[in-house]
Amino acid sequence: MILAAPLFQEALAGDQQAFVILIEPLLPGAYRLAFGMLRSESDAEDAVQEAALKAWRAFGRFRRGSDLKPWLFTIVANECRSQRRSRWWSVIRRSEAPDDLVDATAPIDPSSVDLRQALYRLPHDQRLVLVLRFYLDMSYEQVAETLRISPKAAKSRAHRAMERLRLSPEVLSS
Amino acid sequence: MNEAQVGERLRRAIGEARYPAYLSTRIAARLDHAAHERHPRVALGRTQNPWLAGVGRTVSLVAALLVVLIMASLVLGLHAWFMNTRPAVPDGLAIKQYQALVRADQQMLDSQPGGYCAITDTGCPAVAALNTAAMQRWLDDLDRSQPPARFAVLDSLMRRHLAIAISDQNAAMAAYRARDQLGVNTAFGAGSKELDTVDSQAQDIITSSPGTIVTYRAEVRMDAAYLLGCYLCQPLLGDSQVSCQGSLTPACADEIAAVRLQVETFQGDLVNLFAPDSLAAEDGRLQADLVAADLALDAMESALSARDQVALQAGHNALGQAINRVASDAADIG
Repeated sequence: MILAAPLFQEALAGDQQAFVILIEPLLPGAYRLAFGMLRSESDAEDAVQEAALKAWRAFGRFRRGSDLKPWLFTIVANECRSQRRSRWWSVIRRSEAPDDLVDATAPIDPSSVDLRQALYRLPHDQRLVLVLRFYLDMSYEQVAETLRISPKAAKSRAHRAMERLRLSPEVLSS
Repeated sequence: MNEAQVGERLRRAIGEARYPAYLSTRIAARLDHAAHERHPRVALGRTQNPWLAGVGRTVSLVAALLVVLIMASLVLGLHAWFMNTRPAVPDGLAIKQYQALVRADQQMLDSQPGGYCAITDTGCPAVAALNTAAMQRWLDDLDRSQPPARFAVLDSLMRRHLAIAISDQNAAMAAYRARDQLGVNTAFGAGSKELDTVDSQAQDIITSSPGTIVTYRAEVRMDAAYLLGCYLCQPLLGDSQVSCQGSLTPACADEIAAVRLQVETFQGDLVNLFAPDSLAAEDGRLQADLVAADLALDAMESALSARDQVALQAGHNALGQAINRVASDAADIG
């Protein structure tokens, strides 16, 4: 994404509106990333809001000429890590079982349930690479840029995660 | 199974995300109010006691003098240390090893089970024990390691926050045994905020990279503006006298937490995007003065716990001096 120079300058100078205009086209992708990582629409919304706040705070460090998308997605991914952990220390009673956190109105594909469970048992970094690559349809180069690793490392991490999913008995049985 | 098939199955497994169209409006409103938000990292245990000047004045004066002397010598020592230990050539291997250690410990903690801890849930202590063990291991790893000079300040901050998180975790388990759900929630909530801070500091270390003169200056300008312009920090940064007294102790703790958040974020940013060699001396001064501000906040927190008004004022004076130096350092950097 090439940033419009005046908007960029205005955002850098502290104009919040300019910043929101800059990130607005990226928000659906950011939300999709958060939903893929957290399984819950409300948690995804919280994560994107928090991430946007952190991105605004850190905007002075964004390098002009760089791509805004991987930069923002990195912040969203980190926020998802915090949100997921916070669930353990949650101060709000969640009566739902973990699998009920997904959208209750969405049709459930029985063959996907085991894979979903296995996916959410993966470590954060492995799940993240799969969500970026397959749920957001990013190339390995884009995944690598978001994760700040080499494309080769991104590919190998994705393959390790896929292998782990295939080896999972639940996935094999489905 | 090829990648396309895996992709198809994963998309089906995750389900479709329905983007809420109002999100950008909410974000705009959130940013608008950001300056007025309270930082949630306020340890409740430290905000319960009403402020009372219960310690003898002479003892307080001596203690305050000691605090000032200790902080002055620490600042001078730290400044010299920053100047002497900054490597002419980045100590690449040590840096990478330390980053790998932090990353591994962060991932280990991430991989621990979670869930809501209800006092009726018999599985709660076992899960809490796993999380506590992971935090303790991270802390032990940091205690055993010699951090590269570039990461020394964040290393020390991470250790402090991890120690508090462990203590919060233990408090939560004590509340669980006492069947006190509110106590469990409060302690876990406080621990969670500590870990969020550790996470952010770990991320600053893991993704640390060199800045250019332009990007480093922009970063310093922005962080300094946030620190000096922070709405909640104004009672502490804007007045020469500590205003939070009497029944306002929670406000005092909030104000300290607000300034600490700004100072620690500044410190993290200076690690995440570190100074080019041509600005190393200026960066050293800035970092030493931020450490001095952090130490002054420590002194204020201790004084607050000890209900020592004189020591609180001494810490506040030291904070004011440190922040003035930070502002001057930032202006020098440009």
